[in-house]
Amino acid sequence: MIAKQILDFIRVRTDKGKDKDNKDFVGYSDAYKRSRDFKTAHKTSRVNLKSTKEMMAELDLLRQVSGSITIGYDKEDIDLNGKVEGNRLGTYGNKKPVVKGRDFLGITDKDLKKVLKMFPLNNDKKREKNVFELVKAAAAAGEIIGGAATGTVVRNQG
Amino acid sequence: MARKDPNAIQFDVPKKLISELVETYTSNDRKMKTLAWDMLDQIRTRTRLGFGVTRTGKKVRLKRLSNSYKDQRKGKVRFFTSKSGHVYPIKANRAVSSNKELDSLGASVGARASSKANRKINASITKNLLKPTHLNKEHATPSKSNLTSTGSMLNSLTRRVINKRIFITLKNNRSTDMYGKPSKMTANKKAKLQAKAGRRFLDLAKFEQKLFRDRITKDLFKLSNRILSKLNKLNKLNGG
Repeated sequence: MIAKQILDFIRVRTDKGKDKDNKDFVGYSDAYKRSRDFKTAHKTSRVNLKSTKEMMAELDLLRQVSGSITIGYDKEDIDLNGKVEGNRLGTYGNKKPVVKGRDFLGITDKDLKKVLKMFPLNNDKKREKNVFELVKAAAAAGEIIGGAATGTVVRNQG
Repeated sequence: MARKDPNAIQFDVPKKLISELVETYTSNDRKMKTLAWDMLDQIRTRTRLGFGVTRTGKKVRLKRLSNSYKDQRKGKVRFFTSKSGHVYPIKANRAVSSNKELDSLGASVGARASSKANRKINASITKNLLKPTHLNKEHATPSKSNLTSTGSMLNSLTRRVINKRIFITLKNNRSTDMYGKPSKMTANKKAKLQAKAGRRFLDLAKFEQKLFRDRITKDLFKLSNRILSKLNKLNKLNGG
C-alpha cells in the first residue's frame, strides 16, 4: 500500500510537469508540438509524459523487502523500457542524449516523508485504518473494472 | 482485520463492505458516465495514435496498410468493382481509355475521351477524380494505420451506462467513403472487418484497465474517508 501511494505520488507529480526533483520537465520540441500525434493525444505545452498513458500506468512495484521497496517496469517489456530510458536520459532511440532527459523515476526525501505520513509508525490505529480503506478501495475497484457483478463492459469486436 | 504473525498483518475486508462500496460507486450515474466517457476517449485516442489491442489485452501497433491502399489514399489509384464482381484499378497520370471508365469516375459528359487531345485533358481530370476528398484532415495521413480515413468509425463510438454497467459500442450509422460517396457499410461492420484483418481496437488493454482501476481506487479511498469522517462527526454530535 505504501508502494501504491508512492506510485500515485509520482503519477500526479509527473502530470503536473515536474521531474523526480520537483523541477519542470524540459519542454516539448516545436516539431512534436506541430505533429498530429500531439493533437490526437490532447497534449498541451505542459509536459506530462502522457500520450497513450501506458508509461505511467505500467509503473509498478517490482520488489519489496523489509524496509525497502523497488518500483519500475517489467524487464520483459523491451519496448516500454526503451521508451522509459529514452525519456529519462533524453536519448529517444539514439546512443547519446539528444535533449535533456525527463527523469520522472524517483522521489525526494521530503516527498517520501509526506507519503509516509499516511502510515504513521507511532499511530497503529490511523495506519491500519488507512491500509484497510485502501485495500477495500482496491478490491472494489477491481470488481468494477473486472466486470464481475457490476462491472464494465466494452463490446468485444470479435 | 486479523493478525496472523507478529511481523505481518493481514487485512481481510469483508465481502459485504466491498460490495457496498461498489454499489455506492456504480449507483452514481454522473461518475459512471464520466468514467465511460474517459474509457471511450482512451480507446479512441490510442487507436488514432496507431495502436490496437490483442485478445490477451496487449497493446500492439495496428497492422500496416497495404501498398495499394496507401496509393489509393494518396490519390494515385482508385478501385472499382464491375457488376460481375471484378475489381479493376484506374491509375492516375494516364489517359482514361474509355467512356465507361469516365462514367464510373462520375466525370461529366464533356470530359469524354473522344480524341487523343482530349485524352491528355482527361488525364488531369482523372487525377482530380482519384483524389480522396473526404480524408480526415486532422487525424488521417495516407500511410498511417490508425483506422481513420474519414474518421466516421471512431467518431461513432458511443458509451452507455445500463444497469450500472458501462457499454462502449459503435453507433450503427452509415457514412460516406473517402470520396464522399455514401457508404453501404456501418461502423460496426467496418470494425468487425478490421478485427478480422488483424486490427482489433474496441477493448481496453491491460494497462488501460490498470489505469482505470487505480483511478477508481483513488476515488473510492477518498469517498470512504469522507463517509468515515461524516460518521465520526455524527457520533460526536450524538455524544458517542
